[in-house]
Amino acid sequence: MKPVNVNAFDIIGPMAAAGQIAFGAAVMRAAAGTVKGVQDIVHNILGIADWDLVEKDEDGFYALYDMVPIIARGRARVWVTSNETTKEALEAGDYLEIADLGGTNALPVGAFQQMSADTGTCTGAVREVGSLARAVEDNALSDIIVVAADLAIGGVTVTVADSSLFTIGDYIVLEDVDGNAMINRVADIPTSTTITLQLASTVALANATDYVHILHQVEVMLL
Amino acid sequence: MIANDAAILQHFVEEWEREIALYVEKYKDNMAARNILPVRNVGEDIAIDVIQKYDRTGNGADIVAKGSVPKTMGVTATSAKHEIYQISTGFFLNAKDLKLEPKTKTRLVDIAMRDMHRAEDNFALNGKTTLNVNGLVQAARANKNGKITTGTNKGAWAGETGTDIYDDINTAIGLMDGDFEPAFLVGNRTDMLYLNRPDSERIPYYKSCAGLFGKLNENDKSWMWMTNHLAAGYVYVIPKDFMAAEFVVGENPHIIEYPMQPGQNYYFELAAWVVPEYHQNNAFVEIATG
Repeated sequence: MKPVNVNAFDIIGPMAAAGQIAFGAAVMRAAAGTVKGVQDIVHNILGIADWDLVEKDEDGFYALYDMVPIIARGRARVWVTSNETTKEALEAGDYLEIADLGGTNALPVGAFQQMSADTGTCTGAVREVGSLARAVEDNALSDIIVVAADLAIGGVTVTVADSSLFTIGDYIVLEDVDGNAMINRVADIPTSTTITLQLASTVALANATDYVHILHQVEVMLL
Repeated sequence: MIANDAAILQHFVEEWEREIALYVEKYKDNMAARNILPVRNVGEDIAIDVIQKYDRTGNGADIVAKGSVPKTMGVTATSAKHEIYQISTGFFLNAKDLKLEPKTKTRLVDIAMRDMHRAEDNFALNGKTTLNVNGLVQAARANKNGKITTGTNKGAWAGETGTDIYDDINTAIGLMDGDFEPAFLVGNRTDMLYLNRPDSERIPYYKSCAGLFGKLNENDKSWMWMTNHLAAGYVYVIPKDFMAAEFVVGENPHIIEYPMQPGQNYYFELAAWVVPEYHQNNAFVEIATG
Protein backbone atom coordinates (compact mmCIF):
# COMPACT_ATOMS: atom_id res chain seq x y z
CA MET A 1 0.00 0.00 0.00
CA LYS A 2 0.98 3.61 -0.41
CA PRO A 3 1.59 5.90 2.57
CA VAL A 4 -1.65 7.05 4.16
CA ASN A 5 -0.28 10.44 5.15
CA VAL A 6 0.14 12.78 2.19
CA ASN A 7 0.05 16.16 3.89
CA ALA A 8 -1.73 15.86 7.19
CA PHE A 9 -2.47 19.13 8.94
CA ASP A 10 -3.26 17.45 12.20
CA ILE A 11 -2.83 13.97 13.65
CA ILE A 12 -4.73 12.97 16.77
CA GLY A 13 -2.76 10.72 19.11
CA PRO A 14 -4.34 9.53 22.35
CA MET A 15 -6.79 6.92 21.04
CA ALA A 16 -6.33 3.14 21.20
CA ALA A 17 -7.85 0.56 18.89
CA ALA A 18 -11.00 -1.13 20.18
CA GLY A 19 -10.38 -3.99 17.77
CA GLN A 20 -8.76 -4.69 14.45
CA ILE A 21 -8.44 -1.57 12.26
CA ALA A 22 -7.01 -1.57 8.75
CA PHE A 23 -4.27 0.92 7.96
CA GLY A 24 -5.90 3.79 6.07
CA ALA A 25 -9.42 3.05 7.34
CA ALA A 26 -11.81 5.78 8.43
CA VAL A 27 -12.26 5.54 12.18
CA MET A 28 -14.84 6.71 14.69
CA ARG A 29 -15.31 6.62 18.43
CA ALA A 30 -15.88 3.15 19.87
CA ALA A 31 -15.86 4.00 23.58
CA ALA A 32 -14.08 6.50 25.79
CA GLY A 33 -10.51 6.67 24.53
CA THR A 34 -10.93 4.03 21.84
CA VAL A 35 -11.70 4.00 18.13
CA LYS A 36 -12.95 1.48 15.58
CA GLY A 37 -13.24 1.29 11.82
CA VAL A 38 -16.42 2.96 10.60
CA GLN A 39 -19.18 0.40 10.08
CA ASP A 40 -22.10 2.06 8.38
CA ILE A 41 -22.89 5.46 6.92
CA VAL A 42 -22.08 8.05 9.57
CA HIS A 43 -20.99 11.67 9.49
CA ASN A 44 -19.03 11.80 12.73
CA ILE A 45 -15.78 10.13 11.79
CA LEU A 46 -12.64 11.15 13.64
CA GLY A 47 -10.31 10.76 10.68
CA ILE A 48 -8.13 8.23 8.91
CA ALA A 49 -5.93 5.67 10.67
CA ASP A 50 -2.37 6.38 9.57
CA TRP A 51 -0.15 3.41 8.85
CA ASP A 52 2.69 2.21 11.09
CA LEU A 53 6.14 1.44 9.73
CA VAL A 54 6.73 -1.02 12.55
CA GLU A 55 5.63 -4.57 11.77
CA LYS A 56 2.34 -5.49 13.40
CA ASP A 57 1.16 -8.86 14.67
CA GLU A 58 -1.41 -8.78 11.85
CA ASP A 59 0.26 -7.23 8.85
CA GLY A 60 -1.54 -4.10 7.70
CA PHE A 61 -3.88 -3.87 10.67
CA TYR A 62 -3.87 -2.32 14.12
CA ALA A 63 -4.92 -4.73 16.83
CA LEU A 64 -6.90 -4.25 20.02
CA TYR A 65 -5.04 -1.89 22.45
CA ASP A 66 -2.69 -0.49 19.78
CA MET A 67 -2.26 3.28 19.75
CA VAL A 68 -3.77 4.65 16.52
CA PRO A 69 -2.53 7.93 15.00
CA ILE A 70 -5.55 9.50 13.32
CA ILE A 71 -5.22 11.97 10.45
CA ALA A 72 -7.95 14.46 11.23
CA ARG A 73 -7.31 17.17 8.63
CA GLY A 74 -5.41 17.61 5.42
CA ARG A 75 -4.57 15.22 2.60
CA ALA A 76 -4.53 11.48 3.09
CA ARG A 77 -5.00 8.31 1.10
CA VAL A 78 -8.23 6.49 1.93
CA TRP A 79 -9.76 3.21 0.83
CA VAL A 80 -12.44 3.59 -1.85
CA THR A 81 -14.79 1.05 -3.40
CA SER A 82 -16.83 1.70 -6.51
CA ASN A 83 -19.68 -0.13 -4.73
CA GLU A 84 -21.21 -0.78 -8.13
CA THR A 85 -21.30 -3.89 -10.32
CA THR A 86 -20.63 -1.56 -13.25
CA LYS A 87 -18.20 0.95 -11.81
CA GLU A 88 -18.15 4.66 -12.41
CA ALA A 89 -14.66 6.10 -12.36
CA LEU A 90 -13.72 8.57 -9.66
CA GLU A 91 -12.48 11.96 -10.80
CA ALA A 92 -10.51 14.59 -8.95
CA GLY A 93 -12.98 16.88 -7.24
CA ASP A 94 -15.60 14.18 -6.63
CA TYR A 95 -17.00 14.00 -3.14
CA LEU A 96 -16.83 10.83 -1.08
CA GLU A 97 -18.93 9.38 1.71
CA ILE A 98 -18.63 6.32 3.89
CA ALA A 99 -19.42 3.26 1.80
CA ASP A 100 -22.86 1.76 2.37
CA LEU A 101 -22.03 -1.92 2.77
CA GLY A 102 -24.05 -4.96 3.77
CA GLY A 103 -27.60 -4.91 4.97
CA THR A 104 -27.00 -3.64 8.47
CA ASN A 105 -23.27 -3.86 8.75
CA ALA A 106 -22.08 -4.19 12.34
CA LEU A 107 -18.40 -4.85 11.61
CA PRO A 108 -15.66 -2.22 11.31
CA VAL A 109 -14.59 -1.44 7.74
CA GLY A 110 -13.80 2.24 7.19
CA ALA A 111 -13.98 2.45 3.36
CA PHE A 112 -15.39 5.26 1.22
CA GLN A 113 -17.53 5.38 -1.92
CA GLN A 114 -18.37 8.09 -4.40
CA MET A 115 -21.53 9.94 -3.31
CA SER A 116 -24.63 7.74 -3.74
CA ALA A 117 -22.65 4.93 -5.39
CA ASP A 118 -24.73 2.32 -3.54
CA THR A 119 -27.86 3.49 -5.42
CA GLY A 120 -26.26 2.61 -8.75
CA THR A 121 -25.82 6.19 -9.89
CA CYS A 122 -22.96 8.28 -8.52
CA THR A 123 -23.45 11.96 -7.76
CA GLY A 124 -19.81 12.72 -7.02
CA ALA A 125 -20.07 16.34 -8.10
CA VAL A 126 -22.68 17.12 -5.48
CA ARG A 127 -21.58 17.95 -1.96
CA GLU A 128 -23.98 16.65 0.66
CA VAL A 129 -24.16 16.43 4.41
CA GLY A 130 -22.45 13.04 4.28
CA SER A 131 -19.56 14.22 2.11
CA LEU A 132 -16.50 13.65 4.26
CA ALA A 133 -13.71 13.87 1.69
CA ARG A 134 -12.97 15.20 -1.80
CA ALA A 135 -10.82 13.23 -4.22
CA VAL A 136 -7.76 15.10 -5.48
CA GLU A 137 -6.83 12.51 -8.09
CA ASP A 138 -8.60 10.31 -10.63
CA ASN A 139 -9.00 6.61 -10.02
CA ALA A 140 -10.65 4.10 -12.34
CA LEU A 141 -11.77 1.91 -9.41
CA SER A 142 -13.03 -1.68 -9.99
CA ASP A 143 -16.37 -3.35 -10.43
CA ILE A 144 -17.47 -5.21 -7.36
CA ILE A 145 -17.22 -8.94 -7.95
CA VAL A 146 -19.93 -11.47 -7.23
CA VAL A 147 -18.60 -14.59 -5.53
CA ALA A 148 -18.80 -17.89 -7.38
CA ALA A 149 -19.20 -20.14 -4.35
CA ASP A 150 -20.43 -19.95 -0.78
CA LEU A 151 -17.98 -18.80 1.87
CA ALA A 152 -18.65 -19.86 5.45
CA ILE A 153 -17.67 -17.84 8.52
CA GLY A 154 -14.12 -18.86 9.34
CA GLY A 155 -13.33 -19.64 5.72
CA VAL A 156 -10.23 -18.27 4.04
CA THR A 157 -10.80 -19.19 0.38
CA VAL A 158 -13.00 -17.03 -1.81
CA THR A 159 -14.05 -18.31 -5.22
CA VAL A 160 -14.52 -15.82 -8.02
CA ALA A 161 -14.79 -16.04 -11.81
CA ASP A 162 -11.39 -14.49 -12.41
CA SER A 163 -8.80 -14.15 -9.68
CA SER A 164 -6.38 -12.31 -11.97
CA LEU A 165 -8.23 -9.11 -11.05
CA PHE A 166 -6.61 -9.31 -7.62
CA THR A 167 -3.07 -8.70 -6.47
CA ILE A 168 -1.52 -10.19 -3.37
CA GLY A 169 -1.72 -7.57 -0.63
CA ASP A 170 -4.90 -5.94 -1.97
CA TYR A 171 -7.26 -4.67 0.69
CA ILE A 172 -10.73 -6.02 -0.05
CA VAL A 173 -14.19 -5.97 1.48
CA LEU A 174 -16.31 -9.09 1.81
CA GLU A 175 -19.93 -8.02 1.66
CA ASP A 176 -22.94 -10.05 2.66
CA VAL A 177 -25.62 -7.90 1.02
CA ASP A 178 -28.15 -8.91 3.67
CA GLY A 179 -25.78 -8.72 6.62
CA ASN A 180 -22.27 -7.71 7.55
CA ALA A 181 -19.17 -6.65 5.68
CA MET A 182 -15.54 -7.09 6.69
CA ILE A 183 -12.28 -5.58 5.52
CA ASN A 184 -9.62 -8.12 4.67
CA ARG A 185 -6.53 -8.63 2.50
CA VAL A 186 -5.52 -10.99 -0.25
CA ALA A 187 -2.83 -13.25 1.16
CA ASP A 188 -2.43 -15.51 -1.87
CA ILE A 189 -3.90 -16.28 -5.28
CA PRO A 190 -3.54 -20.05 -5.51
CA THR A 191 -5.66 -20.64 -8.64
CA SER A 192 -7.25 -18.70 -11.47
CA THR A 193 -10.58 -18.74 -9.63
CA THR A 194 -9.68 -18.50 -5.95
CA ILE A 195 -8.03 -16.08 -3.58
CA THR A 196 -6.82 -16.78 -0.05
CA LEU A 197 -7.72 -14.32 2.67
CA GLN A 198 -5.26 -12.98 5.26
CA LEU A 199 -7.95 -13.00 7.97
CA ALA A 200 -10.50 -15.75 8.44
CA SER A 201 -13.83 -14.46 7.24
CA THR A 202 -16.29 -13.15 9.81
CA VAL A 203 -19.07 -12.92 7.25
CA ALA A 204 -20.84 -15.65 5.29
CA LEU A 205 -21.01 -15.03 1.55
CA ALA A 206 -23.67 -16.65 -0.65
CA ASN A 207 -22.83 -17.91 -4.11
CA ALA A 208 -23.95 -15.58 -6.95
CA THR A 209 -25.42 -13.09 -4.45
CA ASP A 210 -22.70 -11.52 -2.30
CA TYR A 211 -19.69 -9.49 -3.31
CA VAL A 212 -15.98 -8.93 -2.98
CA HIS A 213 -14.85 -5.32 -3.34
CA ILE A 214 -11.32 -4.44 -4.39
CA LEU A 215 -10.38 -1.28 -2.49
CA HIS A 216 -8.33 1.45 -4.11
CA GLN A 217 -6.18 3.95 -2.28
CA VAL A 218 -7.25 7.41 -3.38
CA GLU A 219 -5.70 10.67 -2.30
CA VAL A 220 -8.35 12.92 -0.81
CA MET A 221 -8.70 16.17 1.05
CA LEU A 222 -10.54 15.51 4.30
CA LEU A 223 -13.47 17.87 4.75
CA MET B 1 -4.55 67.36 52.77
CA ILE B 2 -6.49 64.46 51.43
CA ALA B 3 -4.26 63.72 48.40
CA ASN B 4 -0.80 64.31 47.00
CA ASP B 5 0.74 64.35 50.42
CA ALA B 6 3.26 61.60 49.63
CA ALA B 7 6.89 62.30 49.05
CA ILE B 8 7.78 58.78 47.85
CA LEU B 9 5.51 57.02 45.37
CA GLN B 10 4.63 53.37 45.86
CA HIS B 11 6.37 52.08 42.77
CA PHE B 12 9.71 53.23 44.18
CA VAL B 13 9.33 50.99 47.18
CA GLU B 14 7.62 48.00 45.59
CA GLU B 15 9.51 44.91 44.61
CA TRP B 16 8.06 41.92 42.84
CA GLU B 17 10.24 39.17 44.17
CA ARG B 18 8.30 36.28 45.59
CA GLU B 19 6.75 33.96 43.04
CA ILE B 20 4.17 31.42 44.06
CA ALA B 21 3.72 28.73 41.44
CA LEU B 22 0.27 27.37 42.12
CA TYR B 23 0.85 24.58 39.62
CA VAL B 24 3.43 23.01 41.91
CA GLU B 25 1.92 20.27 44.06
CA LYS B 26 4.18 18.45 46.45
CA TYR B 27 2.34 15.16 46.33
CA LYS B 28 1.82 15.24 42.59
CA ASP B 29 5.31 16.30 41.61
CA ASN B 30 7.37 13.76 43.52
CA MET B 31 8.07 11.47 40.55
CA ALA B 32 6.50 8.46 42.20
CA ALA B 33 7.01 6.21 39.17
CA ARG B 34 10.76 6.79 39.15
CA ASN B 35 11.12 6.45 42.91
CA ILE B 36 8.96 3.56 43.98
CA LEU B 37 9.72 1.38 40.95
CA PRO B 38 13.19 0.36 39.75
CA VAL B 39 14.01 2.34 36.60
CA ARG B 40 15.53 0.61 33.59
CA ASN B 41 16.71 2.49 30.52
CA VAL B 42 16.44 0.56 27.27
CA GLY B 43 17.55 3.12 24.71
CA GLU B 44 15.67 5.13 22.14
CA ASP B 45 15.91 2.47 19.41
CA ILE B 46 13.63 0.13 21.37
CA ALA B 47 9.87 0.09 20.76
CA ILE B 48 9.04 -3.27 22.31
CA ASP B 49 10.65 -4.47 25.52
CA VAL B 50 10.61 -8.25 25.84
CA ILE B 51 10.76 -9.83 29.28
CA GLN B 52 12.05 -13.37 29.48
CA LYS B 53 11.08 -15.46 32.47
CA TYR B 54 12.77 -18.70 33.38
CA ASP B 55 11.57 -21.23 35.88
CA ARG B 56 12.74 -24.63 36.91
CA THR B 57 10.78 -27.79 36.30
CA GLY B 58 11.09 -31.38 37.46
CA ASN B 59 12.37 -32.72 40.75
CA GLY B 60 14.93 -31.04 42.91
CA ALA B 61 18.04 -32.71 44.16
CA ASP B 62 17.36 -35.68 46.39
CA ILE B 63 19.17 -38.29 48.44
CA VAL B 64 19.60 -41.37 46.26
CA ALA B 65 21.26 -44.72 46.55
CA LYS B 66 24.67 -45.38 45.15
CA GLY B 67 24.54 -46.48 41.55
CA SER B 68 21.04 -45.20 40.96
CA VAL B 69 20.08 -42.71 38.27
CA PRO B 70 18.70 -39.45 39.76
CA LYS B 71 15.47 -37.87 38.63
CA THR B 72 16.01 -35.12 36.13
CA MET B 73 15.16 -31.46 36.18
CA GLY B 74 14.91 -28.82 33.49
CA VAL B 75 13.93 -25.27 32.72
CA THR B 76 10.85 -23.61 31.26
CA ALA B 77 10.95 -20.22 29.63
CA THR B 78 8.30 -17.70 28.66
CA SER B 79 8.46 -14.24 27.20
CA ALA B 80 6.17 -11.23 27.53
CA LYS B 81 6.15 -8.21 25.27
CA HIS B 82 5.74 -4.68 26.59
CA GLU B 83 5.24 -1.85 24.13
CA ILE B 84 6.83 1.45 25.08
CA TYR B 85 4.49 4.42 24.81
CA GLN B 86 5.06 8.06 24.08
CA ILE B 87 4.02 10.71 26.60
CA SER B 88 4.00 14.14 25.07
CA THR B 89 2.81 17.70 25.41
CA GLY B 90 3.55 20.98 23.69
CA PHE B 91 2.98 24.71 23.69
CA PHE B 92 3.18 27.76 21.48
CA LEU B 93 4.94 30.94 22.51
CA ASN B 94 4.82 34.14 20.52
CA ALA B 95 8.09 35.99 19.94
CA LYS B 96 6.62 39.17 21.38
CA ASP B 97 5.53 37.41 24.55
CA LEU B 98 9.05 36.07 24.89
CA LYS B 99 10.39 39.62 24.73
CA LEU B 100 7.79 40.92 27.15
CA GLU B 101 8.61 38.29 29.76
CA PRO B 102 11.56 36.02 29.00
CA LYS B 103 10.75 33.89 32.04
CA THR B 104 7.52 32.78 30.36
CA LYS B 105 9.35 30.12 28.40
CA THR B 106 11.06 28.77 31.50
CA ARG B 107 7.76 28.68 33.30
CA LEU B 108 5.99 26.90 30.44
CA VAL B 109 8.80 24.36 30.20
CA ASP B 110 8.59 23.84 33.96
CA ILE B 111 4.85 23.23 33.81
CA ALA B 112 5.17 20.97 30.77
CA MET B 113 7.92 18.93 32.42
CA ARG B 114 5.85 18.56 35.57
CA ASP B 115 2.91 17.47 33.43
CA MET B 116 5.12 14.87 31.78
CA HIS B 117 6.21 13.42 35.11
CA ARG B 118 2.64 13.54 36.39
CA ALA B 119 1.55 11.56 33.32
CA GLU B 120 4.36 9.07 34.00
CA ASP B 121 3.20 8.69 37.61
CA ASN B 122 -0.42 8.29 36.63
CA PHE B 123 0.58 5.72 34.00
CA ALA B 124 2.67 3.74 36.48
CA LEU B 125 0.10 3.84 39.28
CA ASN B 126 -3.22 3.62 37.44
CA GLY B 127 -2.18 2.02 34.14
CA LYS B 128 -4.23 2.62 31.00
CA THR B 129 -7.22 0.40 30.38
CA THR B 130 -7.58 1.26 26.70
CA LEU B 131 -3.99 0.16 26.09
CA ASN B 132 -4.27 -2.92 28.33
CA VAL B 133 -1.36 -1.67 30.43
CA ASN B 134 -1.58 -2.44 34.13
CA GLY B 135 -0.60 0.00 36.82
CA LEU B 136 -0.04 -0.56 40.52
CA VAL B 137 -3.79 -0.56 41.19
CA GLN B 138 -4.57 -3.23 38.59
CA ALA B 139 -1.59 -5.36 39.63
CA ALA B 140 -2.58 -5.27 43.30
CA ARG B 141 -6.19 -6.08 42.51
CA ALA B 142 -5.01 -9.09 40.50
CA ASN B 143 -2.97 -10.42 43.44
CA LYS B 144 -4.02 -14.05 43.73
CA ASN B 145 -3.17 -14.09 47.44
CA GLY B 146 -5.97 -11.60 48.00
CA LYS B 147 -6.28 -8.12 49.41
CA ILE B 148 -7.57 -6.39 52.50
CA THR B 149 -11.04 -5.01 51.93
CA THR B 150 -13.31 -2.78 53.97
CA GLY B 151 -14.84 -6.01 55.22
CA THR B 152 -11.61 -7.67 56.29
CA ASN B 153 -9.57 -4.73 57.60
CA LYS B 154 -9.25 -4.07 61.30
CA GLY B 155 -11.58 -1.11 61.26
CA ALA B 156 -11.64 2.07 59.24
CA TRP B 157 -8.31 3.89 59.38
CA ALA B 158 -10.18 7.11 60.09
CA GLY B 159 -10.91 5.57 63.46
CA GLU B 160 -13.53 3.34 65.03
CA THR B 161 -13.61 0.73 67.75
CA GLY B 162 -10.96 -1.90 67.06
CA THR B 163 -9.03 0.00 64.38
CA ASP B 164 -5.54 -1.48 64.07
CA ILE B 165 -3.52 -0.04 61.22
CA TYR B 166 -0.40 -1.98 62.22
CA ASP B 167 -2.25 -5.25 61.95
CA ASP B 168 -3.70 -4.35 58.56
CA ILE B 169 -0.25 -3.62 57.16
CA ASN B 170 1.25 -6.71 58.71
CA THR B 171 -1.54 -8.87 57.29
CA ALA B 172 -1.04 -7.24 53.91
CA ILE B 173 2.63 -8.12 53.97
CA GLY B 174 1.53 -11.70 54.51
CA LEU B 175 -0.39 -11.51 51.24
CA MET B 176 2.74 -10.44 49.37
CA ASP B 177 4.57 -13.18 47.47
CA GLY B 178 7.21 -14.60 49.81
CA ASP B 179 10.05 -13.72 47.45
CA PHE B 180 9.59 -10.00 48.00
CA GLU B 181 10.21 -7.60 50.86
CA PRO B 182 7.95 -4.61 51.49
CA ALA B 183 9.64 -1.33 50.62
CA PHE B 184 6.89 1.28 50.47
CA LEU B 185 3.38 1.95 51.61
CA VAL B 186 1.91 4.03 48.80
CA GLY B 187 -1.27 6.00 49.03
CA ASN B 188 -3.13 9.25 48.84
CA ARG B 189 -2.12 11.83 51.43
CA THR B 190 -5.55 11.54 53.06
CA ASP B 191 -4.97 7.88 53.86
CA MET B 192 -1.29 8.15 54.67
CA LEU B 193 -1.94 10.81 57.31
CA TYR B 194 -3.83 8.22 59.34
CA LEU B 195 -0.42 6.75 60.12
CA ASN B 196 0.40 9.86 62.11
CA ARG B 197 -2.50 9.18 64.42
CA PRO B 198 -1.71 7.55 67.77
CA ASP B 199 -2.68 4.02 68.55
CA SER B 200 -4.29 2.98 71.82
CA GLU B 201 -0.94 3.55 73.56
CA ARG B 202 -0.74 7.11 72.17
CA ILE B 203 2.17 6.11 69.90
CA PRO B 204 1.81 7.18 66.27
CA TYR B 205 1.22 4.20 64.00
CA TYR B 206 4.12 5.10 61.74
CA LYS B 207 6.59 4.47 64.56
CA SER B 208 5.47 0.90 65.09
CA CYS B 209 4.98 0.25 61.36
CA ALA B 210 8.47 1.45 60.35
CA GLY B 211 9.92 -1.90 61.41
CA LEU B 212 7.59 -3.73 59.05
CA PHE B 213 9.40 -2.02 56.18
CA GLY B 214 12.85 -2.84 57.54
CA LYS B 215 13.54 0.53 59.12
CA LEU B 216 15.71 0.49 62.23
CA ASN B 217 14.78 4.02 63.17
CA GLU B 218 11.14 4.31 64.15
CA ASN B 219 11.14 7.94 63.03
CA ASP B 220 12.27 7.01 59.52
CA LYS B 221 9.28 7.79 57.31
CA SER B 222 10.97 7.11 53.99
CA TRP B 223 8.76 4.03 53.50
CA MET B 224 5.64 6.22 53.43
CA TRP B 225 5.09 7.42 49.87
CA MET B 226 2.32 9.90 49.37
CA THR B 227 0.93 10.57 45.94
CA ASN B 228 -2.20 12.36 44.86
CA HIS B 229 -2.42 10.20 41.74
CA LEU B 230 -4.05 7.42 43.75
CA ALA B 231 -7.66 7.68 44.82
CA ALA B 232 -8.31 7.98 48.53
CA GLY B 233 -9.62 4.87 50.24
CA TYR B 234 -6.82 2.49 49.32
CA VAL B 235 -3.14 2.16 50.11
CA TYR B 236 -0.68 -0.31 48.65
CA VAL B 237 2.16 -2.33 50.13
CA ILE B 238 4.80 -2.71 47.45
CA PRO B 239 8.35 -4.02 47.07
CA LYS B 240 11.09 -2.30 45.10
CA ASP B 241 12.36 -5.21 43.09
CA PHE B 242 12.90 -5.59 39.36
CA MET B 243 11.36 -9.05 39.51
CA ALA B 244 8.09 -7.46 40.68
CA ALA B 245 7.86 -4.37 38.50
CA GLU B 246 9.95 -1.87 36.59
CA PHE B 247 9.54 1.54 35.09
CA VAL B 248 11.09 1.18 31.66
CA VAL B 249 12.38 4.27 29.89
CA GLY B 250 13.08 4.43 26.18
CA GLU B 251 13.62 8.18 26.14
CA ASN B 252 13.65 10.49 29.12
CA PRO B 253 11.50 13.63 28.84
CA HIS B 254 13.19 16.09 26.54
CA ILE B 255 12.36 19.31 24.72
CA ILE B 256 12.07 19.52 20.95
CA GLU B 257 12.38 23.07 19.63
CA TYR B 258 10.98 23.93 16.21
CA PRO B 259 11.91 26.93 14.04
CA MET B 260 9.79 30.03 14.26
CA GLN B 261 6.38 29.48 12.69
CA PRO B 262 4.30 32.01 10.71
CA GLY B 263 2.96 34.67 13.03
CA GLN B 264 6.26 34.69 14.92
CA ASN B 265 5.15 31.74 16.99
CA TYR B 266 7.61 29.32 18.47
CA TYR B 267 6.44 25.77 18.99
CA PHE B 268 7.93 23.59 21.69
CA GLU B 269 7.22 19.93 22.24
CA LEU B 270 8.16 17.63 25.11
CA ALA B 271 8.30 13.90 24.62
CA ALA B 272 9.24 10.79 26.55
CA TRP B 273 8.92 7.07 25.81
CA VAL B 274 8.11 4.96 28.86
CA VAL B 275 6.08 2.03 30.13
CA PRO B 276 5.45 0.54 33.56
CA GLU B 277 5.94 -3.21 33.56
CA TYR B 278 4.37 -5.29 36.30
CA HIS B 279 5.90 -8.75 36.18
CA GLN B 280 4.46 -10.26 39.37
CA ASN B 281 1.02 -9.12 40.52
CA ASN B 282 1.30 -11.09 43.75
CA ALA B 283 4.03 -8.72 44.94
CA PHE B 284 1.53 -5.87 45.36
CA VAL B 285 -1.15 -5.76 48.05
CA GLU B 286 -4.10 -3.42 48.33
CA ILE B 287 -5.50 -2.31 51.68
CA ALA B 288 -8.90 -0.65 51.82
CA THR B 289 -8.80 2.02 54.51
CA GLY B 290 -12.54 2.69 54.70
